Amino acid sequence: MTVVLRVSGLTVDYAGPVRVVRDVGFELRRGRLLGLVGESGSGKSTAALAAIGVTQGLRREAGSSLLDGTDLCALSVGRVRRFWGRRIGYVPQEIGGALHPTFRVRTQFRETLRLNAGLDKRAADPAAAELLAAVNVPDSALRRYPHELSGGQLQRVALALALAPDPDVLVLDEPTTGLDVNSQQQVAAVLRRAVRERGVAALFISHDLALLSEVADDVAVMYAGEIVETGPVTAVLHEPRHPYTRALLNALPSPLEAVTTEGIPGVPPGRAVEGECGFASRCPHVTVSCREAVPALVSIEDGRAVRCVRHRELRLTAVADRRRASTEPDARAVLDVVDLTCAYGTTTAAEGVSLRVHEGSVTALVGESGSGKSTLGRAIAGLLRPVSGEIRLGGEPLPAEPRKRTGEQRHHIQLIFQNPSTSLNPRRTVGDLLRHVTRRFVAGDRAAREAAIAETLAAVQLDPAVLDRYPGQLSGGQRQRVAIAAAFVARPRLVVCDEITSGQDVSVQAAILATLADLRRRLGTSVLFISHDLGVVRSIADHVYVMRHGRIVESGHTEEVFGAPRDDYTRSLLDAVPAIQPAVPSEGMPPEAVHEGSAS
Amino acid sequence: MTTTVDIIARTRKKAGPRRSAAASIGVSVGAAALFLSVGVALLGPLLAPEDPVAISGRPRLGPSSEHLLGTDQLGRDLLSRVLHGGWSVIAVPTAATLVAFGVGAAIGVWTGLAGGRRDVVTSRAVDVLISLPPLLMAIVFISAFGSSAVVLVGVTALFFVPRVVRVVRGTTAAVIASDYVAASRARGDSTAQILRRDVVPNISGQLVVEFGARLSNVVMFVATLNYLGLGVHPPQPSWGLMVAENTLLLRTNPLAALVPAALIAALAVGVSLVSDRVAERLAVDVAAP
Repeated sequence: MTVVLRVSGLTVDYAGPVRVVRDVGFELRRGRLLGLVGESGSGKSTAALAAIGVTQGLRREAGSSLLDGTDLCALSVGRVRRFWGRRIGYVPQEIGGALHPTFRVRTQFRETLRLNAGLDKRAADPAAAELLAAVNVPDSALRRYPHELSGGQLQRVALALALAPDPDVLVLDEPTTGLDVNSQQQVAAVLRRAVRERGVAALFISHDLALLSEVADDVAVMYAGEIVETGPVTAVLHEPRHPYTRALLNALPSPLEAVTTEGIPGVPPGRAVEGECGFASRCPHVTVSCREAVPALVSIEDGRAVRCVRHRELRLTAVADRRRASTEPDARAVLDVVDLTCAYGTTTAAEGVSLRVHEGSVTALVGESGSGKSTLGRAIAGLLRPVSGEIRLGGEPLPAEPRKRTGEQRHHIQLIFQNPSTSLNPRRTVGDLLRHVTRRFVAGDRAAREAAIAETLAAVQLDPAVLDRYPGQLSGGQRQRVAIAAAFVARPRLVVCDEITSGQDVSVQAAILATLADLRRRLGTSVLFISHDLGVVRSIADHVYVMRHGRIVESGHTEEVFGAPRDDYTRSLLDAVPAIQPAVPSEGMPPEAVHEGSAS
Repeated sequence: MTTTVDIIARTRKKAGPRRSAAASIGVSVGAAALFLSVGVALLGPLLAPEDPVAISGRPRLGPSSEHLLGTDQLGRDLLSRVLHGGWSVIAVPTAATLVAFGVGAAIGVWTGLAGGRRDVVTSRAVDVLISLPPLLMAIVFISAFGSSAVVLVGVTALFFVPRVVRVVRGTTAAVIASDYVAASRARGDSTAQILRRDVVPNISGQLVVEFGARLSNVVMFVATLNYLGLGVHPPQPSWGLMVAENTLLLRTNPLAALVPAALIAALAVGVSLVSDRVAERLAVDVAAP
């Protein structure tokens, strides 16, 4: 397997003292796919782009990126541009921006084939059709404009466009983020095949370890601008040697078993840390020696390398029992939805839906985008008037017209939105919001309301200092905690959570889920958890309803539905969702011989 | 936790300096232009050496120590006329813009808030009104109702109301469609509360920008009316009218027309540049609808 691109010692800063990428090295080999994984702010995109010579606004301090002996980092933009497209393909995250909206797909293929492969129109069209066939897109797509294609198709068209000039190197920046599991699986399958058959050396940037476990051959884990661990993907994920890799895995929910997820305390520094191990402040295994110098990346067995001074002594196995204790649900229903039909104008979004949320339970509503699950959530929260059917809260039917709900009824159903950047008023401080909510829903005087706020903030692990901050001054995870606090400070009976962890890093997601589980346990609040992420659902829900095209197709206890799905659609969803398969026990390391943190 | 907040706050601030070099030149130029034109308009009458309507010398004199800018066709001191002539160019547009905003913002918020049929009817009415040629209609109105300052303010405001409605409606509708308003509704907040807590704070920045942009438009519009001899009564001086009066002197004494023209331009450009800066400070995305 020949090395196509060799990156070594790459160190990059924003023309200032803060290094965002330090000493990054990796090799891309023909026909293999390297996954570059890390939380947002770990420097993974910056490192990957710098490696292919995209250094706008950046300064290379040291290191090189050699493609056939040419250092891409040393070339001027004009020179390196000749490599882009022709020898280096790139598939960006925001696919909408990558395809020209007013040109047909055919025109875009013709252009790239003319510029990068020297083909004229007549030669380009069959080549384009062939490329589309390779990514499982019908060639009728050639006649279409980008907006006429689905997200999954667009992503595959972008992949085909990048592959068109037969590049040696392919860089993919989170190419499946925002796609449904089924589309994601198709893109991943097509990508895997293209890399193998065409012998491309691919770099796949992702925050999703489960997805990488299915597409990548090798993986490099980045943290604070450095590669902290690298090696073959199965070895690294089944037997991580760096505490950060272990922490990422602990934060990852799995659709294969009901496990609790664990957040990583603290926040990533968002730059390279000088003078000590970058992960030291969040590491459960930190010792004095970690604080003395930046650890070196040390090669260990099987082509692996790890950047941890304690890698010899630490044995980082999974937490002994992450299995979630199942709760015996209360038989009483807090919410009953009976034969509910909702529509936007003439489009029916949900039809004849019935579901029940038991007192104190977490009930999940699962489905792909467009399945009608969010519409249902909005109807329950009183934002949408249902066409027919009934919603009962604690046995009492709610008025059909949401505006006629009493304050008491509103009090006991709270809604948390998917995106806290849009669900929090940017011109109101956190304190202003929480005080407004408590004035409406918390009985008692000012002192009682302030006490409720302080208590809730502590429960969602926010510093009281956030009260004076505007949402724009908080991180995404903190904003979602504020939204959770605003819902729970009212002490409602039911909280409707609409995709509240999508778009968050796994560690943040795990922390939010832990907070939610804790609040629910402590306050006995029931939760209707709307999500498309089956792993998350399995880690938190007691009951599951699966929704498709506005109808419930399957429901039951979480373990029953995940363990033995009866409906074909549920089964296809479960098959499509990426998951790290359990390790096959190897002879070298019997599982009972290892314990977390025990020094050998 | 506090440290993260601080880091984020700091990084957000850091985005500023990149634009500020160009922006600070812009705002300095704008502030200077505004200061000059407003200063001349407000303090000018106190400094004028002669009576602006009295004949104080021979006609069509060039600049001299006696008449710094020379005299006009009738022999009136041009400097004194410039110093007196800014008042109407400032007061009328400011009053007209304020009236247009009072009415326009109220209608805009009212439509944006409601959506549905009320929104459609108002928006189409606005489209029709915007398509009327303002200058032509202004001439018609002024010839019908006379050309007092009140009529001038009323007519000008009338033409800018639909433009303000359109912008305010769009901004309000965007706020109303946001998740945080949905959250307020789910909580049971009244329309008044939603207006006060959610809508007003989130559209006020945009309103300031719009006010600045409209004010500079209105300055030009009123100056144009004055140039056409509408809204001011000769022999009272006005910068717009002076440009027209002194066109014939352009060859012999170009300053006679250019100084008032430059002052109008300084006023319009100054308002525009300063309001851009204010918008930036309020972090309003000017490109947003």
